[in-house]
Amino acid sequence: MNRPYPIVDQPLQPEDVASQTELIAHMRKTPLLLYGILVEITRQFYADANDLPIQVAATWDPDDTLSKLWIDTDYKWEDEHPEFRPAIYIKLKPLTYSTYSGRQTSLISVDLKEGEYRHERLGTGGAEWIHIGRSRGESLILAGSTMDYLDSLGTVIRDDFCFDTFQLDSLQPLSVDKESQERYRSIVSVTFTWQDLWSLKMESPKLKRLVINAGQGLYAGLQ
Amino acid sequence: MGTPIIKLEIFPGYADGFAFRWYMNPLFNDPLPWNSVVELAPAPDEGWVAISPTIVNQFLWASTEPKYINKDQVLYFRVRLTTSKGTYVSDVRKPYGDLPRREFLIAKELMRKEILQARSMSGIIGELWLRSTFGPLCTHCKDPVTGDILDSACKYCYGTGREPGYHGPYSAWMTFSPASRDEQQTQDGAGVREPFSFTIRMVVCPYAKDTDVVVDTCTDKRYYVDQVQNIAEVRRVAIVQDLTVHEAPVTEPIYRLGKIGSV
Repeated sequence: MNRPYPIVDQPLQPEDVASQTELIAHMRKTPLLLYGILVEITRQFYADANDLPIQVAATWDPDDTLSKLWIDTDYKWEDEHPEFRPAIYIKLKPLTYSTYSGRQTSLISVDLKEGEYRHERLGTGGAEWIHIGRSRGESLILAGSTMDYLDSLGTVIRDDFCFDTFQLDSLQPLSVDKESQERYRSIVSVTFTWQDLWSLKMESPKLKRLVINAGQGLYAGLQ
Repeated sequence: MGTPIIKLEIFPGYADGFAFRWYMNPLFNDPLPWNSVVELAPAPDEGWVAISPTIVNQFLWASTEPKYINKDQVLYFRVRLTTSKGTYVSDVRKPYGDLPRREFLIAKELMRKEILQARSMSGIIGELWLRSTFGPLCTHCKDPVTGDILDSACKYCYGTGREPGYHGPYSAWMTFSPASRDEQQTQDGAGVREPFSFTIRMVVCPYAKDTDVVVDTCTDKRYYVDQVQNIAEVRRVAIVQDLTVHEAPVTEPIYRLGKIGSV
């Protein structure tokens, strides 16, 4: 007899760990979460020289005394190594919100029995990877490497971090910054969309269900 | 190709003799080392004798001994360069360079007083590293097609694209201005800048240029030269220069310059 193999229902993590773990799928895409995702994937990519094109000499290391590349968010005042070059700064573009349904509000359904109002929100945003190098070649090679990574693994990033879309948008090859020396910057941009869903459990009394059978009076049908 | 030594400058040294600076053709690509000797002769076409030690991969030399000769005698100088591929000599120059003898001595006196001020009052002995604008191209960090420098921390050329990346160090008396210190975000937030700027006053021996590196030997801080202004000249020959410099972040590769074990 062809019976399915009995599957033991066991939790993925011990209960004490699970209670402290919040899955990205369950988190709202706040700016801080988006910064965290984008910085982390960039650091992981540049941490392993085997991932990088052969011409990329700079790798990132969690120990900043060993790191040859600085990867951080924009507007970070507590900069342990000002003007560490080469560097990649990750900058969020403005996030805009709308709805999939086209309605003006985020409400998509109401469960009258449970007293739940369900909402959805469509988020649209973008990010820039600002590569700053001491030479134009260094800036270009880093930007090319990031562009290749984000484009070729865009669908994986989309699925792993619960985006609806994650698309390469543009690459601005070169401009010049004036620091202690002239620096060169190249910017890679992506756009992404995501959907946030949530429900509100209303405190008001739930709507009672009325069942009226033929031949019964209204009051007899109340449960 | 003629002589690769495209220019030989002679100017008053702030020691007791002449100072010599020579420039190479940027296209000259003989393998290192480049050994140079300054030579002297009583006539432009004979009797050349070396007056300097062999100078390896450097292009500035100041004699430290005064030279006593008959005042009517004219001296001639040239530089002889030897590489593994050949020997080359510069054009012959007369001793006062671009100056008549009288102005040369005035310039020398201005330099002496400038050095006296630095030595007895507010100066320190610093080091100047001249960024290479000539020399063999670095083969370790350059893209073979575009020539772009792909590794700005290259341990062979320090991201300059030529070997050696900097010539020096050339020691000199320097007077630093009080510091202007600031810390600010860039306009779009891509990092924090520390535009710590100074000016450094020093005699034109050696002559600095934009992107050269100054080392404060007291603190080992390193500075990039942003701008050079001649603040004293005699008949268009620079005597004293004012450098606008920026303190380099400690993560810059130039902090390896002159350190034991660096290339």
